[in-house]
Amino acid sequence: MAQSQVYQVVVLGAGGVGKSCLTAQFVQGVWIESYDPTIEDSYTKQIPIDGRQCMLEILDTAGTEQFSSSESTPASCRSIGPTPTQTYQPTDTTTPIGHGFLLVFSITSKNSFNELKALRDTIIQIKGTDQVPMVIVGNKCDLAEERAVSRAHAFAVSHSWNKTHYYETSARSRLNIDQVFTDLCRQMLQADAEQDRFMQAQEAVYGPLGGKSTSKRDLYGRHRRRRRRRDNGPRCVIL
Amino acid sequence: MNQQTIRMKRSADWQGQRGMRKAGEHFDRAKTALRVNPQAALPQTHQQMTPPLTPQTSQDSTTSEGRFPNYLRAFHSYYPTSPAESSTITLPLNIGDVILVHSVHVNGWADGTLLTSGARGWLPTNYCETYEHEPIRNLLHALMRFWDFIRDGHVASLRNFSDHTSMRGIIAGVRYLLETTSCLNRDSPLVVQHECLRRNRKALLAHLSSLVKCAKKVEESITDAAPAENVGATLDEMVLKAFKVVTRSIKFLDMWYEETGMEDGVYEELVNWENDNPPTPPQDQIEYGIASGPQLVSSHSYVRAAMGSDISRCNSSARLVPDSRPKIKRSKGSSAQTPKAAPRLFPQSSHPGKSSSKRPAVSHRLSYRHKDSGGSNRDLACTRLSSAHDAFLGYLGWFIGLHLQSRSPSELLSTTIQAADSCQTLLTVVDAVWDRDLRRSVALKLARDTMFARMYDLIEAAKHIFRPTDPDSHEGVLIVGDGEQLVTAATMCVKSAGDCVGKARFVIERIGDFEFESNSTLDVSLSGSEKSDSPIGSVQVFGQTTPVQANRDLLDAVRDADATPTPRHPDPVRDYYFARQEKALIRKPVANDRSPGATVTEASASSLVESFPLPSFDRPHPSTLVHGNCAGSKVNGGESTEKSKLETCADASISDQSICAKESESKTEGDTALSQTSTRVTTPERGSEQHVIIPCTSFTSDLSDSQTTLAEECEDAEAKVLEKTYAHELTYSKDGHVTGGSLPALIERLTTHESTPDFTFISTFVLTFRLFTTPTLFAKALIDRYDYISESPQAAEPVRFRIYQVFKYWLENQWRHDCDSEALDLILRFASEKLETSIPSAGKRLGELANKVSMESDAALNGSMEFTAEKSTQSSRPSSSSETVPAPPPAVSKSQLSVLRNWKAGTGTASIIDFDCLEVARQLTLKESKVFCAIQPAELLGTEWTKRRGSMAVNVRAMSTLSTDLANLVADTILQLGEPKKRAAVVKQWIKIAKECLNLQNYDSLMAIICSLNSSTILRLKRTWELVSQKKKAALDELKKVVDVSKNYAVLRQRLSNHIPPCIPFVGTYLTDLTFNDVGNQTTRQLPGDSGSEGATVINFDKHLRTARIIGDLQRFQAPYNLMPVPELQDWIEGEIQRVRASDGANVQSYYRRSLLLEPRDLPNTQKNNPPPAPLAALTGHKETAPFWRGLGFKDKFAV
Repeated sequence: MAQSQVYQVVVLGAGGVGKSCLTAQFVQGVWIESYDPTIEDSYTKQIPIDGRQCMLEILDTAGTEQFSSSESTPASCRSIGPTPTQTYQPTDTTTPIGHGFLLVFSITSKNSFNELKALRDTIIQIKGTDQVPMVIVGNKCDLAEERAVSRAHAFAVSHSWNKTHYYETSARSRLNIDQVFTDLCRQMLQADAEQDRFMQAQEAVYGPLGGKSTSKRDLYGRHRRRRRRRDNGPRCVIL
Repeated sequence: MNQQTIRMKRSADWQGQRGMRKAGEHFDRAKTALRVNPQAALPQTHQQMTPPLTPQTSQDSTTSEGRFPNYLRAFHSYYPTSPAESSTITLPLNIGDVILVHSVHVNGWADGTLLTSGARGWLPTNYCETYEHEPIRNLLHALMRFWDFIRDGHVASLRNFSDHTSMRGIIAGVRYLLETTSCLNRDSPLVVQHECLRRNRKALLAHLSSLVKCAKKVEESITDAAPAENVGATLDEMVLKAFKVVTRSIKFLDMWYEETGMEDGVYEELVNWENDNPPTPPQDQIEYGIASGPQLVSSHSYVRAAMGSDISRCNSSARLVPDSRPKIKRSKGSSAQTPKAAPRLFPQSSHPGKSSSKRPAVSHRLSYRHKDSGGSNRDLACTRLSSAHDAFLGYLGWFIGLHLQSRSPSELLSTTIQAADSCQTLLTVVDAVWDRDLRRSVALKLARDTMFARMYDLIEAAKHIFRPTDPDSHEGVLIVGDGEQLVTAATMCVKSAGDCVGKARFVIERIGDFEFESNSTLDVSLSGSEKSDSPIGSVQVFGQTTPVQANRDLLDAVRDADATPTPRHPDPVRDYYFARQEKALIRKPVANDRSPGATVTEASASSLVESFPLPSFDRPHPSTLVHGNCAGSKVNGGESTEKSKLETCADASISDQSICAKESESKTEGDTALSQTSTRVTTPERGSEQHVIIPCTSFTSDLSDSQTTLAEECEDAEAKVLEKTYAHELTYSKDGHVTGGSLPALIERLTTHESTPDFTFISTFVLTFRLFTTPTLFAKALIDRYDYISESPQAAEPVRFRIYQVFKYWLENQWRHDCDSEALDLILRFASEKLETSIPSAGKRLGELANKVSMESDAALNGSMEFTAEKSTQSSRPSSSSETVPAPPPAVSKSQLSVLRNWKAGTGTASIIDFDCLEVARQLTLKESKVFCAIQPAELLGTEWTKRRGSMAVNVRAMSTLSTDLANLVADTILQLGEPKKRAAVVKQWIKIAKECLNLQNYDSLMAIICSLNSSTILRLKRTWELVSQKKKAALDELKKVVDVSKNYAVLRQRLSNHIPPCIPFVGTYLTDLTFNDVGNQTTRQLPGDSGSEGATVINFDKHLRTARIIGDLQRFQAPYNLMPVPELQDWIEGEIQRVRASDGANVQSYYRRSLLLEPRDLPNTQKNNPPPAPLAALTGHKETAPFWRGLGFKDKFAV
């Protein structure tokens, strides 16, 4: 059986924006009898992207927003802190090969939206580039009458952040949940492919890096199979 | 000919769900038409019978999978015509018979059990209609649950039987029936007026009473655990009795309808098929044979007449009775069959050879998926898993039963071999499951490795049990009590196997059940006799250290040893036995084969041992587990031990039986031990075996004279039924645990007098009730319970006492001054006015407690509302580390102390590298422990700690603050130094401290330190890391693995599960778990209603049980450390933390700026074109593989 690859999605956002709900809705899929968050598979899900199966692992440290250095810093420094370095956990069978970030705010809370900037800055600083697979999510869109962040504003801001995609979701009514994760996963696949190209270029210059030939083949094959993204422009999904 | 083609085409359509659905609708119409006058439609002789038409078009693909009626009632008689055919059982039906349906095949045959006789077999669904009436609905549900529980539940779960939940359901069902028919009281006008109702009511109660008695008997025999041989028979008896009760109830209801004229007779009243619960009328494309008899034939016109306009289309559709009748294996007595010889459970006429690729029948009852005797495919992974597990447990049971009975060593020997073999089978299945799983479940792998290790222990233990004194003792007898070690090892095996199978099952549920690829693989795994010869490579296994591989190694080793015997050891007897065991493994006949084996040496024995690969993680020591359970005065721990013991006993005793039989068999046949294994594995059909044996006649005769024989028992049952109950408002999981219910129903369960108090249930309830009700309502509900139980005199006393106990527990342990005070008056009044009149002492005591709490409340209101550390220490459990052992002396030198004193006096400075890392870790641990132990369960409820203001979760917050402070301190101490060399020294120091924290089981500090070292701020300091030795980096890498977030902290969780308190787990995982438990589970659940529709909404108690379990898991570790505080060092740490906190730079951004100042970035140009430098790979400890490079993700994370 082929080695499976796990894409890690880091869900970030202030406390109380419903990000745990978002994650739970996504992971659970259909309603199940009972949900046990303490087991290994609580946060993994396989989703089909353009005809192939992708394994997503959701890293959501909901409930630990307090574990931050102080009031003024991004709420989840703790959760970003360890994750980027865990890009390459040397487990024998699964190799997480990328990271995507879901920045979640609640459309009913202006503050939760404002906090995203610091979160994004931190991510970019950690990653050292602004080409990070990322999606901005305005949650609780079912609470239209309590809206505090206008759709246009949120969209404009996300567009200004290197054309980051913006979605409005409702974890409660399971609106747009899968779309958000699918979009992010596509971005990760693309980033992955670009990385591959980069590595190929590197190899052309510096010679092989010790990568095994099998994985390279796998890598090229995957690249060939991938469809081109249809649109690269900004996207605002309103349902 | 043409007709034939059309028929074929349509049959193909039938295979799909849509077809079924559509057909159902038509069938529906047909039946509605029929119902107008069933008698008029009755049969003339015809050569063929035309079932409802098969649709050709299929739209509407909405999921309708797996729904079918639970009960059917025959509206037409049916007598099977080919009794000679031994491979299938087709049930005869009489008009009015009610059938409990297990599954419905797409061809329309249903696998069901006839309630009147208890016989199980196939029956045509188009002779039947859904049976469902409001008054009897609860009873029918209860019976279904009862059946699932008894028939499909694991033997182990029968211990739950003592909880009486299923029995209560039936009693409540009967009560509900009588209540809704207003016949609850003997003196009710309806009963008085109608003689036949009275008689029927009486008979019903008599049956109920006899059922209850029978249940008592079963309960006793289960708790006794000794005479387990009878349990099976008693269970059968009980199930039959339950059927009788239901049959009687149905009869009663029929009578009632007749007498009261509420309905025009039962058959006309039958509920319609729901559109999305289509029946699946029998059909088949093959012409049915002449042998099919006249009844079927007659039915043809019956349907045809009714179908009206549909008739023309009907003509060409399929047959009512297929030739390829579904087959149920008739397993009689001991005639075990090999898997190959077993008949297919389902007809394959339409897809010969291919039908195994999908499950032909759907079952809506989960339990059936695992232990199905009639419905599921044998090649499915879960079936195979279950049977392999059963087989393994069977052999393990023998070991556990060892202390009960003396056995001969040869028996031990052969059983050990068989156990090893069945373990192997199980491992093969588990491996296949693991391999199938894309995610490569770590938990499953660990569980599997654990099981493997346990098996190894067992073999070791078996080896030790042979006594070296008497060379010929193999014919002697093992002395009772000698094998304690063996019993322990076997018990551990049972436990780990259960764990492993549970995990595997979970994986199967997630990835979906699958068929084993090829039969040859299965033969390898199942028939042991072929194993050593056949190529095992077809089974995919974990890397190199696979059990199959291991076994091969083992076999090879044994062969080698056998070939070149070099006796060196002076202990030939042990070797002899062991050698025999080994020889058996390579499938040489065991019996009368002495001399060659005796030459095998200890060397070979040890080679056997060594060839078992040990799992890579720390194996939990047996003592660890025991300790873990008894260490804390924690409720959960203690209980689970008890439970697992019971489980083991039950398992052992049941399987004992079969093993004994097997043993005797093996002796007479002189067969190899290995072939025994295979037969054992292939006979999992407990259910079908039993129902075949049940004599139908005895039951019917019993029914007729029951009124007289059981009359005297009526009174008892009457009382039982009259008892008011809410039991029908409870929901259960498939293993019989309460998962939800209305408040009165849960209160009833809380105070039930029929079983020993379930302490987990009580503590969970009292801990979490504020999440689903208010203190006032809770108190009121308890008082209501007190009131209504007074109606049933014999139950009143114990229930009242239980009520008192709940109140007492609440007041003593879980009282919350901030919100519970509202209920205090209620409780005080209850104590003085009610309880004191019935149980004076209890009433008095409760009054005292309430007063005391009230006084405390006042004090608390005056003071602070917060939980203080003081209060918690008094309530926390006694320290587990024995007080007699003195704490280790602090590792602080005099010079270090003087440095600290100077620092305090303000005359000097101190640095983290000045101190012993062990002592720093200890002091940090003490500091964290103090906060951690102060955490109250209430702080963890309802995501209290996340509240922005006014949160009561002070200790949880203090914990996270401390953790954050420590992380900042780490960053600060590194960043405050200008020279890379000095920074490297501090980094090294922190790595060492983190390592010591791990040794102290202080995961919270470990997490804080690692997170800080792992942050981009520190990690980007390339010049600093270059000066950190490879050894330290490797050590850090190990630590990182421990706190790795991936797979939901799999490594961390695994470690924690094996720890003995004191320990400080990373609180973050608990907070995340609690958060997700909160949002991921509904607060309510639905009672099962009529088919399709949802019933009433009740509390989802399962969610709260989970919450309590997570909190209990945290509380388990709340024990003080046996360490000596060093006040000077504590002061210094606190001072440093305060200093960092006070500095304006205590946030990620400012640290990052400082980091940039210290080691500025390289030019972006070089970043882009340079591959990450080699030392970085070493830093991460990762080999240079492609995924690693890709994994680096983005360019300059490590760049300078």
